[in-house]
Amino acid sequence: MNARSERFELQRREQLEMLCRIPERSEDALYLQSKSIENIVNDLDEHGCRSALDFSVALKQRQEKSDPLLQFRCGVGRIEEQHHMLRMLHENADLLTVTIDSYTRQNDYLGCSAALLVERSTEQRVLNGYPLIHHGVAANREMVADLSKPVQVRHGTPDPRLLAEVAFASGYTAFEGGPVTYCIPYSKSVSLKEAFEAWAYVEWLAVDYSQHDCPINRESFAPLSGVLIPPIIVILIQLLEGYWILLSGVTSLTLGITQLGTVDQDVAVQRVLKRGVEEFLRPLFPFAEISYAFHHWMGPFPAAREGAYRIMERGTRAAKMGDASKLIVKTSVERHGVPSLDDTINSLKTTKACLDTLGSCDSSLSPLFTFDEEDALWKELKHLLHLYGIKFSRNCSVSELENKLEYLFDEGLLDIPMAPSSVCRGKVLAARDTHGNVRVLEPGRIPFSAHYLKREKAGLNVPDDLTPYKKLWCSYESLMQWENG
Amino acid sequence: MNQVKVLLCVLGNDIHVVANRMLDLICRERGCVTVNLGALTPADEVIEAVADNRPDLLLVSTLNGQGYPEASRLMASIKENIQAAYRPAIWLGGNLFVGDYNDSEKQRYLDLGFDKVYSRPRNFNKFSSDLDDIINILTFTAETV
Repeated sequence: MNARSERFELQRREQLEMLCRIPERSEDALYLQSKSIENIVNDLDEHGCRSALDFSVALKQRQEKSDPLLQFRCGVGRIEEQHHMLRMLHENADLLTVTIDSYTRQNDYLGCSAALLVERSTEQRVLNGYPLIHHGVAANREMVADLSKPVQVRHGTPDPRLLAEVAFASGYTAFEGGPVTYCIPYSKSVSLKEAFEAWAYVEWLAVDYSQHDCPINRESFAPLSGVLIPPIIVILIQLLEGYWILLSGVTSLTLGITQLGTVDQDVAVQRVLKRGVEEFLRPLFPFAEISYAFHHWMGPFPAAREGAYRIMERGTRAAKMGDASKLIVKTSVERHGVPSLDDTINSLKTTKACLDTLGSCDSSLSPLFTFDEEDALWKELKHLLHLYGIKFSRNCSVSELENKLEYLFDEGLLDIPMAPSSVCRGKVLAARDTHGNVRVLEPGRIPFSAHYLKREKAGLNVPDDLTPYKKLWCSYESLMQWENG
Repeated sequence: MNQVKVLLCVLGNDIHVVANRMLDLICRERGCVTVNLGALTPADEVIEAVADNRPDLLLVSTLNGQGYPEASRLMASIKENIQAAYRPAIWLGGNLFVGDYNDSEKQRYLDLGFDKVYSRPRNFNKFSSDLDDIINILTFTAETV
């Protein structure tokens, strides 16, 4: 056994000891401790949890330029309710989701046990998501095997080692997140170093569970802090985290773009991400399956359904024209809290109907603006990658890339607005221009080219000498603009 | 003139910081001194910060709908550990429960002892005018004493 796998085995023991300390789950801990991953995979096969239900296979089978596969978000506390919802939804969706609760996300397993107990005894919703670990391997397997479509775990956990352990052993074949995109938007004091360590373990597990031609699908999280993000930052972070995940040995990767600006801009952003993948990642990882997610708008939604549908319709169009592999839908009631089952079904049906009317359109129908925008983004992407000294090469080691990313965030050369984490400086800000495109309002310390900044600022109808206070308000008002109709 | 001191936090297992940052900004623009504990702040840490900083106003945000248990711990601990003379005004706002919004649920938080509760506010207008009021009261009191 080499030093690397020894390190992982040690971590695995620690994680399973933690599982042992959740009183109702000690049985799972004993099961996982007693079996090798190969044996667990065999058990999964026997339970009918693999093959037809494999997430990566569903993504691979999608034909280029056909409609994006539809996926939703859905997470509730009790497994009976979760199972019922997924069963009701799977007719209208191509890919299923369990979204994990916030106690689990913060590794507060005992807090989660207590909340689940209250939820079970009062039959009132207490948890804001699905406590996957607490429902145990056997019950999760039963649910996964009962559903005829693959299920992804979506969460927001900076340290998801135990969650991944139980999720993969339960037959879930896709797992969202990464060391950057699930650390900076989802933690306050977790360092990138800690996040890399935790996620290296997740990738190791994912690779080990990728047997019998069924790789575990890993997806980066494009929406970041859920506010207005300069699109170039989304592209950069997707490429860099994607690179890190692929270097770790993963062979089914999904990168994403989130609806931010106009349809035309969002199409350009998707084209640039794909171009980056083809130019930088594909040559290094020719056997990896790389697919693309598009997220409906993740910011504040208007109260009126019509307004919400208008936003979703634009997002659906952008996903279709950008040839996204899958579209993660929102609902018309986002403003009012957690959507009901009917709301989600309605949203899937409306989105499907919208895709049907769009027919076979693609980005070749986009206006000249899209290609101008693509050109500007592409040039700036290459400019920044060059300044950052990022080399896409077989000789690049994982630790080299990690050190580089730590340095870039430390110095504010790479930055994300409005994140809770102290890892990034949060100086960069975006706002909407008069057409609705998202532009860099405040570059912070990101070394954008003067030419690009000038182009970004040209459309923004704001004076150059805004105070920091006014800039933050301006960015906030841009973020809230769609909420007001 | 004495500056009004405001302590801000996002309570419990909650990472939503946008509103918290905006509140901080509004307070500073009004001339208050702010101490912002940011996201993911457990009740104990808030109590410690109240004892250390003696704020005039404590702004508690909870956005993920799971805030009630931690909010109730916070208020119990305030009663137990903070002398009445040093107890700040305590305002809470955000998405208070998982699921559909219901007016009666706001009352459950008021019953915990929060002085003001903003349930899914649409904007910062009400907060801003309440802030102006409390600033007037506090600075007026400070000047006349």
